[in-house]
Amino acid sequence: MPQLEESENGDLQFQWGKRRGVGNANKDVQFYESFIYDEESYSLYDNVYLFKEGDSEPYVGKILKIWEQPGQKRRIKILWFFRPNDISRYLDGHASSEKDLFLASGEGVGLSNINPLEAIAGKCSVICTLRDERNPQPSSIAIEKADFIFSRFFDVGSCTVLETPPEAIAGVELKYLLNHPKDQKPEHSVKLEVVDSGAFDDSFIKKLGPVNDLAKLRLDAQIESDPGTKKPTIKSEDLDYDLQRKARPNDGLMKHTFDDQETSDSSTRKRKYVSDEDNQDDDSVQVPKVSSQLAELAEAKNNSLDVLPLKPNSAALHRSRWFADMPWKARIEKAHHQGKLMFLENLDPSYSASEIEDLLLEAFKLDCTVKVIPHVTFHNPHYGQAYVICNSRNEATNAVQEIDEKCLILSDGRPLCAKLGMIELPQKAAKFPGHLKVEKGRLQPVRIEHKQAVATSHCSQPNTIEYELAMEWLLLFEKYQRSKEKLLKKQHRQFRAFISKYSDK
Amino acid sequence: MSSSIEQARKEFAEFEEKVKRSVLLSNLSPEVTAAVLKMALEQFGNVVNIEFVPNLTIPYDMPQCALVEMEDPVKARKVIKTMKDFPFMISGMPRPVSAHPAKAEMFSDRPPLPGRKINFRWVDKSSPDFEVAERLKRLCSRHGKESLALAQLQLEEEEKLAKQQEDMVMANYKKHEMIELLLLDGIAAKLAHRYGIDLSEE
Repeated sequence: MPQLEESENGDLQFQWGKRRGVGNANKDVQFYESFIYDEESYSLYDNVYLFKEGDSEPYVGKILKIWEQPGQKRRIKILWFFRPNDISRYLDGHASSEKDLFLASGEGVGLSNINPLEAIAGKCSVICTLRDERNPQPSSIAIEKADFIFSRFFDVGSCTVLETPPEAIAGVELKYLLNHPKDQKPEHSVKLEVVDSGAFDDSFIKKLGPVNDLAKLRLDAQIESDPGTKKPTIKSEDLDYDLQRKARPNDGLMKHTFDDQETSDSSTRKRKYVSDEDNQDDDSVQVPKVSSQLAELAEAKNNSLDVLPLKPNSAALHRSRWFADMPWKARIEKAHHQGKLMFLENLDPSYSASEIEDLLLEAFKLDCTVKVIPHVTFHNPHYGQAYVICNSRNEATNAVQEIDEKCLILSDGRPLCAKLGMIELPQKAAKFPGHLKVEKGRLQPVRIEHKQAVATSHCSQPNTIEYELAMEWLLLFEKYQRSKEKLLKKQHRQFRAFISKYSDK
Repeated sequence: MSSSIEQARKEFAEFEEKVKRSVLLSNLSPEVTAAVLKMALEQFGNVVNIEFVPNLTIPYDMPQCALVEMEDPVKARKVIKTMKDFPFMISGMPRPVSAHPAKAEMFSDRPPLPGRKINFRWVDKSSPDFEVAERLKRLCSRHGKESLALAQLQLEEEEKLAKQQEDMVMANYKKHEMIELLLLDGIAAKLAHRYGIDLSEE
């Protein structure tokens, strides 16, 4: 019977799954088969992503063991997969593709590591295409949909690529390391996965010898109970898997999407901020292919405010990978559909996202993510606006109601205005008046290819018709600017007039 | 505590530096991508970063905007000046791209002003300030609508202009085509021969 333990791990939801046994030498250590972390359930032999500080690409590993030490220290032992890039020197003669992985085998540096459980960044789907009777053969659809494929191994001792599988790796029989009889789905609704209960029993643990070793992270000597592999030292010169996670939140935020049913009070959650970075925010929706997501994330990672080992920033990182790598627009739409979106107006235009979040936290005890609307062409520079993604529908509706009924006045005297939901945006692809196309290609056809870009962008010379036409456009823009300025002046006067009416300001 | 203020100040200073180096490009066609922009602007100097600003609140079809960060403020100013002196076109013509120096408000992920705390107070229905606040709220909404109306007007004007230019160009083009055809057909040559006009001056 699965035992549920709820433990608060900073901001991330965590629950243990099925227990296995206690450690041999140290009875304080409890082994598990599965756990739920940040709304994903993980089991033994699942494939996961792990982030290393400073690296743009995540590492892929297979969970070999899961346990908890006294003091709520949760650990996992990870068997590594190698990307073709990692072992390019030894790849001669072996063809490989982007999606290929090589499972580490043999003995030596780089086979496996023990890491804190919080280093996990998400689940990864890796399909094994090895033709072996122990490996349930995958369908071609599964292969296509998988994040990665592996069929070969890399012996870390001899540094060679193996086409034939070894009998066991790190003391685990091969059959456990191959495809699952049930499919490994990366998205789980919250449920406890009990993996083939027959297969695991305490004798499995006892088979493996005593531990020695280890990894770079703050592990104390209690680890002896870990039935490790027999490699004493995992020196970390080449492969430093000191996994600390740095947050890459979009707006310095730690967001959390809890189910509406959960009534945990968010006020007790500590929130940590990480400095904002310019996040590349393409408008195109991205298919969740890992490398492109992470390439984005990795840009300009260096100036992080806090490099917190493990926890809360990892929440942001995790979330930012699985949700927020949807560009903001998609996130906002999603929140809108879930009813969690608020639209704030009448803010001072210089407010930043974190200030607004602080404000909401203080005023409403509201834990949320804020996206400030940037002021460009058509926006009114006197008024700041922002979208707020709340944790739940109730919170959003309540907050809006409160703001409506009572008045919340900010430092500069402006009352906060709030609405539920987002503004209707035009759905179809934007038409763009002003670019002329003639069939026979008289005027330059529009080409988007990289190398043609220079040819399609140019300064217009004064002796062309194009120049004259462009001038007309510039005239139009100028007209708009002037009208806007006039309007803004008028609005400002009105605003001032009202503000002065406050009795005690 | 002071270290975090220090940090905040440092961040903000860095941000301001970034703003000085950045240019806001607007009136970009929806077909323009970051790659295109990068190539187009590389002639002015090294492009550090390009970020498209998505339209999240204006309910009309708008051209794109992008914030381009150059290597240093000098290059940024060069971009702006060049685009002001000569209409610069990207991925199509003749609608030129506008360049403006970037401002802090254009970045939605800007860091907070160091040391500033937003205070707030709740005002009850009974207080006279409540009425003032309510009117301010309505004012905000009205101003918002006014801006949107102006924006809509501008967009309509743009469409009109585009149509007008297109018509003119098409008309000219048709004329040219016709003349070309004539020349090709040899009719012009025959007519010239008939009337004794020498066509070779062209």
